[in-house]
Amino acid sequence: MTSILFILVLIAAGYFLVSRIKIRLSHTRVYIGIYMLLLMFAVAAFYYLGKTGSSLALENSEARESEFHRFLETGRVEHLKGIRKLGQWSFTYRGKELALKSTKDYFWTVVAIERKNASDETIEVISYTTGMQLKDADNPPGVKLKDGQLQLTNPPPVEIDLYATVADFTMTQFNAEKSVYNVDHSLAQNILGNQVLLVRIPAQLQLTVDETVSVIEQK
Amino acid sequence: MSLSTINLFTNVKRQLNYKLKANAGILFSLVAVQLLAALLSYNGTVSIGWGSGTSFISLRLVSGDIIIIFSLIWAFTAGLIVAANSQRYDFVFVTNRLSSNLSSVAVLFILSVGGGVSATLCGILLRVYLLLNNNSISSTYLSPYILLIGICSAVLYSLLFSAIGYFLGILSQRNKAYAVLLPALFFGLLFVEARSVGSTRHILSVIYFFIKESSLLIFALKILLAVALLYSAVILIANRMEVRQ
Repeated sequence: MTSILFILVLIAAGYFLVSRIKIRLSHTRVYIGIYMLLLMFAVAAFYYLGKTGSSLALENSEARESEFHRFLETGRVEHLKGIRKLGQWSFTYRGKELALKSTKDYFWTVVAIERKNASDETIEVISYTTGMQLKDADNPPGVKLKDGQLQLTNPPPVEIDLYATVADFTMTQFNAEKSVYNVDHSLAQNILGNQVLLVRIPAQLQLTVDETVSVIEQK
Repeated sequence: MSLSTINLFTNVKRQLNYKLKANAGILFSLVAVQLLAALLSYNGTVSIGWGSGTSFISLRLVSGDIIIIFSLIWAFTAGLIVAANSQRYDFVFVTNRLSSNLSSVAVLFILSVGGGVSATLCGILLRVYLLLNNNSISSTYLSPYILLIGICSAVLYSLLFSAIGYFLGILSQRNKAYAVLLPALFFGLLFVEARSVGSTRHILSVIYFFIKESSLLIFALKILLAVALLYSAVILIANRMEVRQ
């Protein structure tokens, strides 16, 4: 109802204004000429930027999600195509037991535990993401070793503002496969990606995990 | 008594030139309407949000849809204005109803082509502006072929909207009550039909007849047929009108 009222108001306002605009034809020719030149320039620039400019490639894909979990379970997560390192920590630890816990209610990133073959008294922690490389969005979690505890802190909240230009309805009407609003959850999944915190511990180290952390033991 | 004989084509051509000059303000308003629509489209036509853990994504989809819709409203208004002005300008020349309507149709054709082409290209201007000023943007590649389809489709829609506007403008000259009754009837029925479930939806069927067509050729035929019907009706109605009201 509001949109119908809005359209009616627009028509009435347009009629009122347009019927009162008295502009010389010579002036109109100049304005329209400049406007058309601007539009032509925009078309040339659009195709030029399409070839040379950089823009994000957004794609809906559920395959990447299952591939991530497959690599995670088989202990090859760092070899996953497109994975990026967000942060890396190394701690010397001589204790026999280590507790893994979150400093807040719940640690959102999955922790993959990998036991090294050697007992080298070193704990290595690497943060990976499969998400898109976006400005101000690549924040690794906090990792701290204190009093026999590996304390994990969620990365600071991130708000990502993205723009996607899509085809007009006059184009998609005759091109069904390129639906304008064909955007689903898998697109968000591709933007955010999956995060994993790979913790490499010495072979003989006894590990206790707090219920606030999700852990996958790599095979 | 006139000393020279003017044929229909010459008469229409003269009136067309005159009406184009007289309606120059309509073209000027098109630029204003499209730039306003581009400004409104800048923040996205549709916004989608997702949250996961501590992250939140807001994805704004930007297209030229609002620019095209505003341009179609402009085309409809142009039809109304040309119909209203024809009464004022027609009798400057030696004319009859047929030559007057043909020249008005030619004016609306030119305006619709201009409106349709510029509406699509203004969407491209908006995309270029966003690409140059925003790093977090995903740009859908539009091939020149798709762009051409968009332009043709926008021109056809503009032709239809201007023809509807002209038809209503002429009808309301015949009886002023139509100016209020017909839009009220259209929007009223549209509103009722949109809310009713299961019953026959005449207005929506007519709208779907055009917007659900996926073949550009058939779509063009549908539009041209509808436009021809509207202008034929206009000529029939105008022939039964008084010389000047």
